[in-house]
Amino acid sequence: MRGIFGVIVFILMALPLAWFYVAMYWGFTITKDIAAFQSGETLELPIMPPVKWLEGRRQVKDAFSPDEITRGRSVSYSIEVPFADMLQDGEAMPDRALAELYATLRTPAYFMPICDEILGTLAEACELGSFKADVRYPEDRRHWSTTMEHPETGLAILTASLNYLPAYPMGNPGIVPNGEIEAARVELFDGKQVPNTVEGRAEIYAEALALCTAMREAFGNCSLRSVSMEPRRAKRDPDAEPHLTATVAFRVMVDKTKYRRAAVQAALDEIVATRLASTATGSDG
Amino acid sequence: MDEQQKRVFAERLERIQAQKADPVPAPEMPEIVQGLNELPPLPPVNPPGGNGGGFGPIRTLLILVILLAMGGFGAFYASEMSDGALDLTDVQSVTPIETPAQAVQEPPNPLLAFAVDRPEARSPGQRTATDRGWEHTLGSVATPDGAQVQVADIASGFDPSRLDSRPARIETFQPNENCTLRRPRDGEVVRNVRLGAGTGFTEVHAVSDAGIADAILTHSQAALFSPKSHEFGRTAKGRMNRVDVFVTDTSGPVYLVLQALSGNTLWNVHRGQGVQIAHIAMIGNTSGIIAPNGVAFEALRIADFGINFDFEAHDVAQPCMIAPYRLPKDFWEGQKKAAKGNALFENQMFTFNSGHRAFSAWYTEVLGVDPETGLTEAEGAAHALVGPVPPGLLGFRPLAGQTIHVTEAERLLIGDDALIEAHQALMIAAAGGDVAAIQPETRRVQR
Repeated sequence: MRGIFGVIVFILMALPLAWFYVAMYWGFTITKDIAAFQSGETLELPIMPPVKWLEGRRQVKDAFSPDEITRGRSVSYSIEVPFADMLQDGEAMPDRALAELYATLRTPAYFMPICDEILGTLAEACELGSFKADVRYPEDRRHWSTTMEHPETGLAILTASLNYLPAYPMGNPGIVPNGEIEAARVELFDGKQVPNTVEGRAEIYAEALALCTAMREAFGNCSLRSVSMEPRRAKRDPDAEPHLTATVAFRVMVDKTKYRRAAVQAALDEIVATRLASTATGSDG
Repeated sequence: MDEQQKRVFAERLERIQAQKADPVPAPEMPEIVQGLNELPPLPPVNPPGGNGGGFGPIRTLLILVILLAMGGFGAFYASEMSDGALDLTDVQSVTPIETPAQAVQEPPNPLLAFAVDRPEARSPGQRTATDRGWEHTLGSVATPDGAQVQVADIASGFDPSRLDSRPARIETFQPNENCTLRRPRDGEVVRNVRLGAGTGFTEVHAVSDAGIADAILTHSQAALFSPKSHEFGRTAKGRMNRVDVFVTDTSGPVYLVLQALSGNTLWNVHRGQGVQIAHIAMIGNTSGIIAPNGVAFEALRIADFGINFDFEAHDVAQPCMIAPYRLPKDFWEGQKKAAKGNALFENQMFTFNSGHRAFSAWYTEVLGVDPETGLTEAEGAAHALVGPVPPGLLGFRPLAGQTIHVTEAERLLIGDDALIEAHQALMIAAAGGDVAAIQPETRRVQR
């Protein structure tokens, strides 16, 4: 029976030893790659570090996969439609118990134009991710003010996120030593609203891209985690043009021995501040 | 190093070797031996008949146990994941009644691949004590005195392996608007059957549009984004459970009260020789009945009366507490666990006790007898006996060809395929004519 303790101790000692060799080898290949890279050789670099814990791998793939549409890169948006408008010509108004089902299953069609919008600039390819619909009636006091115009048929709130394959360069996260993914987010235009139109949304995409480009220049890589566009309704004036605010999240692969999350967020904040200052002076002049 | 030293060293080595009972040599041996050719050969590393790696029986056993345990866990999870495909229990005695009746046509689009949950096949003719009393499998009858009786002892013509799940026709009737029942008349004996749920199989479904819509939403999300999920194919739940009731009580005209706490129940009432049935009252969700000719029936739908089912709610008087709770018995596993201080079951038994007290008050007021009189009860059963085991066999009445009377429901469907078709039709309509619209093609930059 005493022998078993020897076996356990051996295993416990062997594990870190084995890991040591793997980690050393990984470090060695990265060092070699970086040296080759700096000396100007062209390299076939793997997009992922040769060894990384599974969760890390998934995250890296999610953020930086160059040939797959992943859930890690999305554009989300929401649309208000009077539920009656979602029905086809001559189609009977379904029972209220079925309204949510009808609205949900008809949601995808409303978001494919957004997919088309981001093609070419943000996206190389785009598909529908998650989507849902909620049909609201004035009986629900919380939604009285927004739905009072459609007392019988209700107002559908459609929400969806689109996943895409980036058309913009993401840089190479594979060459970052001690790489770890960090995220940062910012509300675009300092929370200022843009019109909820094709042009307004194009402005949002362009700004998100510009910020990601600046992040890539700072860290060597950048992936747009999400562009979330929220329609806003002017509280006092129901006839006012609908507007949008947008929040953008980024992911970068950084050397974890050099940067913490706060540093990445700080860098983003600085980039944003510089851009805001330059547009302010630009509009002044 | 001179010869003398070498020899002394070799001798010492030999002594050490001899002292060691363990035949395994020290690992540094071979290099030294190279320089000592004149020495006798070393003992073999693995002596013939030895146990190889030096694993003692205890250690071998331990490793074996660990490996078996790991294998066991693996097999357990594999069977969990393969949806019970590895479940070999009861395979021999399974009745084929639960096998799919007819394969529903493969849908043109996997988005329309709905599936119907069918109850698990279990070996027939048995009863098990569960947390809330007896659970009878097909063929075993719930009896007033708790005696173990099979359908074959009561009726002829019942074949548990024959697929008998579809009545010919459904006629609907309104459940009572008020929370009361016909008062028993003088001379009528009140007999009652109270179940947790019926367990007999039918292909009658009582479902609501909202239930179907909900199932389609759940299914479509799973179909699009996680096709391996168990929610893929989800359909609305509302299968009616058949319970064959054999009434053999000849002590007077029987006023029969049939109750099920959960599920939709189809009561298939049989009348024995010389038995008079005066009236039948049903309490449950959606209730259906095949009544002997000329017998009047009525039904109360539990959901119609806004009963509060919160914990401790039954302690407060509710105007219409018709949820048919059963009084916990000492043989209930739940009662035993509660007696041992298991808080979960203490709470559950508390709910059953207080629920029964409240139900009992309503029942006694409306029917004039307390609900434990003339009671046949079980947690789950497909057959119930009201009265003694009859001297002669009754003729069993199968479902096939019958007209059943069911309390009104949004949709009453006969056949699992009809349930699937209802889902498919609604999904197509909701999607605007073509479910392909739910899954638009990936857009790509045109080059």
